[in-house]
Amino acid sequence: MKTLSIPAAGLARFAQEPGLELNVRFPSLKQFAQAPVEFPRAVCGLEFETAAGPLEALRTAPRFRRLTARYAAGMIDSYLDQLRLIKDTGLQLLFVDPTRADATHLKLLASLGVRAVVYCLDPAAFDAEGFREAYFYELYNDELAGRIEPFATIKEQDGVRRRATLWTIYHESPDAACYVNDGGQLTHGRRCVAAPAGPDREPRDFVNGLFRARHPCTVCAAFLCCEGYFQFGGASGAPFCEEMREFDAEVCRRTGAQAGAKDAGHRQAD
Amino acid sequence: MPNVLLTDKCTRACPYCFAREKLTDGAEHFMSLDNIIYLADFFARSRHKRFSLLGGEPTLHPDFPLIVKYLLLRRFQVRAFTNGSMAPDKCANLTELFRAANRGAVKNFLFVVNINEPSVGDAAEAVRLDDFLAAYGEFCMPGFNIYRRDFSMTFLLDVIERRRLAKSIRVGLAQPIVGRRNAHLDPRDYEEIGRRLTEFARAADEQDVRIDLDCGFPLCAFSDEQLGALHRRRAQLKFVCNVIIDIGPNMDLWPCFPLSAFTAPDIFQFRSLPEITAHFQKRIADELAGEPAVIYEKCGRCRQYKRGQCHGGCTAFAIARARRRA
Repeated sequence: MKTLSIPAAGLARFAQEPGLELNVRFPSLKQFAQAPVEFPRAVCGLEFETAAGPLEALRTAPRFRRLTARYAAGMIDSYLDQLRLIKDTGLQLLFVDPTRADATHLKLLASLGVRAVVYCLDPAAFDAEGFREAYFYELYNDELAGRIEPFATIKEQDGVRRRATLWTIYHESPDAACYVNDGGQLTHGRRCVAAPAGPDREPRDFVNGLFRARHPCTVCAAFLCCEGYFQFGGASGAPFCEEMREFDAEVCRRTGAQAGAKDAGHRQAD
Repeated sequence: MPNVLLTDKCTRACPYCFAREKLTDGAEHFMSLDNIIYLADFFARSRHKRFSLLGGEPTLHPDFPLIVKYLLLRRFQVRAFTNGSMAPDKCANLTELFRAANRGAVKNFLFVVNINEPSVGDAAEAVRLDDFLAAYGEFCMPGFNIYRRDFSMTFLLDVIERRRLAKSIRVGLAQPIVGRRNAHLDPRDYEEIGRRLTEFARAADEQDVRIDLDCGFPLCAFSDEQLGALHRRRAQLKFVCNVIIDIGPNMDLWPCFPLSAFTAPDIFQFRSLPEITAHFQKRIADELAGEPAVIYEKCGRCRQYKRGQCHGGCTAFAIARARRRA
């Protein structure tokens, strides 16, 4: 069995920043199954870019805090057939830029107790209807067996001081998580990978930069849960930004809070 | 017990069809998966465990296997009311799931197959039905609708034996549809129906087959002697007429097929099943304006009716009478 070796420079960061989560990203579950890997103790999550076929290999995967696989569109039947396995292993399914049809499948799975994550990456592929369908289902369903992230966390945190932002919910905050690929090289979170190379490779620097530049995002009501997430990598005016604001307003309307205002007060107190 | 119509299209044209008012001859409508999820959540919230899938012919829905799989995974008891015209391979990969669902004391999945007398329908229909029963017989319960005095159900015993169907027959009475014409029975025929049914129950019992009465039978269709004979043969007897709640492919509602003239725009206005039931009960009571919802004049003097042992037959008769008078 191959041991995943991570450069010492990368691991040194873990010693300096306790609580940092190390995640390993594999191109496919199939590849992971074919070449088993022994992981260093610091690893706490695995992510698979594709997991369209049988998920049986997950049974032999070490028990990590988080197992994530990208949802393969149109494979709902296969996921339902493997529901027991998905629930037993705690696999969460990542719906990247879900279409309206994907959102229906997401609801099917979430209603059966699966943890689903909506992830918007490509403004050109963004489907507002699919996004809304997913957040409405989470927001207005008090007896949902599964969870639809990031909406579930944001919903739960409303009315109290918010600590989670999209960076942390997606485990992409450099304060909390870092990624290596299956070769052991350090990489960034999904959004950072997609972002073009530029001076703001570190999201933390990027967020601070928004304040320095007095970016309109910093006065947006939804900033406290978004922290400029959708602007990262120069994706200015990303359409999902608007829907996210809409969701935040819905959450506040539901709980009677004024969008962002309450939390903003806490933030200033900090 | 609500029924969910997956489509308004049917492959048959039964003379007594009680769903006719809601069927289409044109472009069919299929219930969306989003609406199925909504209903599953709605039923769960109402603590209702059973999902009855109807049509038209529900198996025509392109996602029928997916819907059934989903509902079983959500631990609903699923009943699919079919005419048995589905291609045998459509649910072939679900048979293991069906077996698992039926392993315990409760059968969580059943096709309730509406089987007409051999004289109704053509040879091709009969072949399709037999193919279906050959493939899914172990998950099938036969259903039979009585719509004429001289009915005969004896042929069903052979089908049950040959295709290993569940050993009980769901027996329905064809009822009038308010505002429409369909073949249905005259309440004056009910005593004859009761006599024939009892006779059949005796023969069926020889093969360990029992009969289950659907709604709309009045208790007085059977004599005391007949009721005793049926009871001895484990017949499931009920003499009720309740608001069933039928939910159309577009989420529109009505109390039951005979009363499909009473519609409510959609289910989204309601929070639970009891709320819908109360809505329709009130509307039916308003229309009857104090008149009892019974089929015979004598019902008002009947002790069983007063005690609630019998609901006095199908309400559609009383509504039709009230409308004629109006």
